[in-house]
Amino acid sequence: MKNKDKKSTRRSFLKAGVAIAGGVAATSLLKPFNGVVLATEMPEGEGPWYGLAIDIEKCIGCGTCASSCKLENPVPPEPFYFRNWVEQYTVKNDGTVKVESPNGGIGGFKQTVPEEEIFKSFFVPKLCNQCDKSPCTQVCPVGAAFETPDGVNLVDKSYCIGCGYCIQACPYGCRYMHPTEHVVDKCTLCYHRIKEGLLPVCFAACPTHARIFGDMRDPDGELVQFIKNHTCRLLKPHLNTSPKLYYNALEEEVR
Amino acid sequence: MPDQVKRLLVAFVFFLALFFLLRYLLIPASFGELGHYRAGAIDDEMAYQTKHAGNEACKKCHEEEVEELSYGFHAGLSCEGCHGPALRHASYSESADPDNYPDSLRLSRPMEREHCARCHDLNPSRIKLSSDSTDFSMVRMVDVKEHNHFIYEETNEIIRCVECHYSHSP
Ligand code: HEC
Ligand code: HEC
Ligand code: HEC
Ligand code: HEC
Repeated sequence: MKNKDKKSTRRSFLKAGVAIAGGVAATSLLKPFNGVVLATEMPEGEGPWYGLAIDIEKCIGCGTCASSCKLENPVPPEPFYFRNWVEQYTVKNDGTVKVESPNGGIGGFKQTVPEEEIFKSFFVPKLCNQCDKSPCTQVCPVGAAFETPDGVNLVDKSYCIGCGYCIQACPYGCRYMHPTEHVVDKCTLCYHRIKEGLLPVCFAACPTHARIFGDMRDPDGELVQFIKNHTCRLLKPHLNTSPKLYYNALEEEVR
Repeated sequence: MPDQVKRLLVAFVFFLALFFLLRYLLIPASFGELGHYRAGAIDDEMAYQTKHAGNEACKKCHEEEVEELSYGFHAGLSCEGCHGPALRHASYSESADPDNYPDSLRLSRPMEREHCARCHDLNPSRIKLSSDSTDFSMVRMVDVKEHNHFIYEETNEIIRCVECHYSHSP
């Protein structure tokens, strides 16, 4: 009796095991893991769904985006609070990478590495990636971090309790604690401007048109055309946050 | 019904009422309308006033400058990238009397060499173009420490870029 019992357990165990393995294989066929595929799955709905793109080849590192953002929005003046900023990456001949961002790029950059030591160097403007599967909104304990129906991640300042959990969760370092209001602040993609048909201020200020703002649902729009015609990459795609910020000519060194 | 159950029931009803009262008081009005957040927060964000007017808005009073800018090498630049946010300037100036113009509305006139250097200084991170290149979409660089680095003897000041280049159409 005891023996028979054991047998049936082993059999059912094997059966269940095969079923689970088969199920996993089948679902992975149905919906393959596509962490590095560019376009995120668009949610159902009407109206615009905003995305952005940055052409690193065009960025001259003047910092006008960062300075105009600080002038437009209530960002504290200290040189370590930014809603958007520019980083200067310098890959040296010995393979080490130096990243600099003096005052977020406001006022421009100086190359501190002697030219003969430089293998390559470039600017990377950064701002909120407006992720579709944003970790920051998922961790908020009170529902103060949220994504609007048109795909912009915002903070409800009057509801935020200032726990800072979302600051920890953002893999791109795009959030900070406001020193006087004690709530979390971040890029709003100039929500007050885009809803009036204006560009976010950093996009309007860029002198070389390195920044492209648009509607991901508009297949003929500038943004979708740009993503189509350039080799775009995302920042940290392996985290599966589905960012909507597409970089042309993004180098492997950028973190 | 036993007495203790009655008392418990009273306590139960009391705490239930307290729970709903607190819930009513603590959860904001429009919470949950669009998702797990306060829908009114979107309106709060939209109510914020922008400070930048855009190049189009300057046309009304500075048509010449807008024209000059749009034909020259600086065509892609925004006025406010150099002069600072100007919505207040642009909306107030309409009724302004030029003899009695409030200083608080004056914009900056960035004349220092550093201002141009921000975009034009030699930097290996910028894409290099030879001076005979016909690609005018990329920025041309000069070594700001050397390019016409002329020092006036009387004042000991370095010559400014705007003395030779006109900022609106360099
Ligand atoms: C590259 C930066 C830059 C840009 C872009 C720029 N300006 Fe200027 N602007 C200057 C500088 C520098 C001065 C003062 C020096 C001078 O007069 O040459 C100035 C002067 C002015 C003046 C005063 C002229 C006078 O005669 O007193 C006006 C008005 C003006 N700008 C309007 C504009 C408008 C409108 C735009 C956009 C269409 C614009 N600027 C774009 C740099 C710029
Ligand atoms: C409704 C008219 C009006 C509009 C619109 C306007 N300005 Fe002006 N602006 C003036 C007047 C008037 C002055 C001259 C004030 C003076 O010096 O007496 C002036 C002066 C300036 C100056 C010289 C510096 C100063 O403040 O004295 C700059 C730079 C300037 N404007 C930039 C701009 C820009 C950039 C815009 C677009 C966003 C703009 N203006 C829109 C009326 C206007
Ligand atoms: C916000 C960035 C920015 C600032 C500030 C700026 N420029 Fe430019 N400049 C550009 C861009 C972009 C171009 C167009 C690309 C090109 O042809 O170099 C340009 C073009 C030029 C050119 C023409 C170069 C050629 O092709 O022959 C000159 C000269 C020039 N700028 C001088 C100046 C001077 C002088 C100043 C300071 C008053 C200045 N710029 C400030 C961005 C800037
Ligand atoms: C003494 C007058 C003078 C001053 C001051 C001056 N420039 Fe020039 N600049 C010129 C002349 C002339 C040329 C064209 C001949 C050449 O390429 O050298 C020129 C060319 C340029 C060019 C185009 C270079 C190219 O490769 O086509 C840029 C950009 C420029 N200047 C920026 C600046 C900046 C930025 C400053 C201030 C730091 C400045 N200039 C100060 C006279 C001047």
